[in-house]
Amino acid sequence: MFYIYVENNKLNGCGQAQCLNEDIQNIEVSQDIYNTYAEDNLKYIWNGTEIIENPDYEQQAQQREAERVGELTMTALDFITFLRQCGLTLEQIRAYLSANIELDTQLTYCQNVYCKVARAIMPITLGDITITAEMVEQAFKRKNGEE
Amino acid sequence: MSIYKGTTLIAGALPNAANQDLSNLSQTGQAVIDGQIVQTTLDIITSTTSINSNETKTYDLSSYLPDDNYTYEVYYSVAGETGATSGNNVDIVVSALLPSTNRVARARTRASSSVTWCGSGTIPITGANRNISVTNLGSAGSINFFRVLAYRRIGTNQ
Repeated sequence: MFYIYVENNKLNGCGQAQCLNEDIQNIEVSQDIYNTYAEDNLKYIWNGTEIIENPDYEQQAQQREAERVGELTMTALDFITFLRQCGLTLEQIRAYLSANIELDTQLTYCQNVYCKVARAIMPITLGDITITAEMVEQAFKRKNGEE
Repeated sequence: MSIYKGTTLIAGALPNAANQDLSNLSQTGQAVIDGQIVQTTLDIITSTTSINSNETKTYDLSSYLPDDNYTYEVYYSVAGETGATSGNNVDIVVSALLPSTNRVARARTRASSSVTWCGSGTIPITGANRNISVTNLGSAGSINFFRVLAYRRIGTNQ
């Protein structure tokens, strides 16, 4: 038997044993639906009476991915190295940080730089070099072994 | 083997204790001593399942264990994540009818992202009650994986 659990009018996990909590419904589903939901719990939603395909899946999946990438980190030194690999000189980076105290504080006092913080200050244009949010995301993914 | 709760017998009793070679036990005799480990899995949870502060979720293992009233020792593994907010923590306990609760994991979020936790253990499932429970004594968290891996008969059906 394969079940998806409904709690507080939302899907909340799946499994092969019935949950006995009074406030949880055990909805018996096919193995295909079970496997799909286990792989990606945004695929289906509870409409109050039955499990249906999530009509907002694409949008919610993109948002989830953006949040996940936003939590990736790298050290301040790695982030400076990334800026240099984009073509900025150390002098340009120092000048930029002097003019942008918030980022300077991040790089100086925070143990790790979060992708969501770095992404939020993009794009940076110095001379003929522009660093975009997409470039920053790719750099964080590379640093975390994802690309 | 007998199991007592306080002074009340709640699971089985051998009428006579053996003090010699057990190789010539009859089938009836074999039925009341320890069983072999049976390796078969059941996924109790396979997808992110939120579990709030002091919440207990109880699952029915009657489709997993043999349909008798014997007491079984169940081997399990459980894993999950803490909530994403700094200070969120989990304190995970697995329990069954017997007061043999297993505290399997504790973890706390220190920055703004979840941390993972995991634990495993064995727990006796007694007689006709085939339930296993997981409780979060901490704050916000979730369970992503809860699997029973094997069982072994350890008691009687009396």
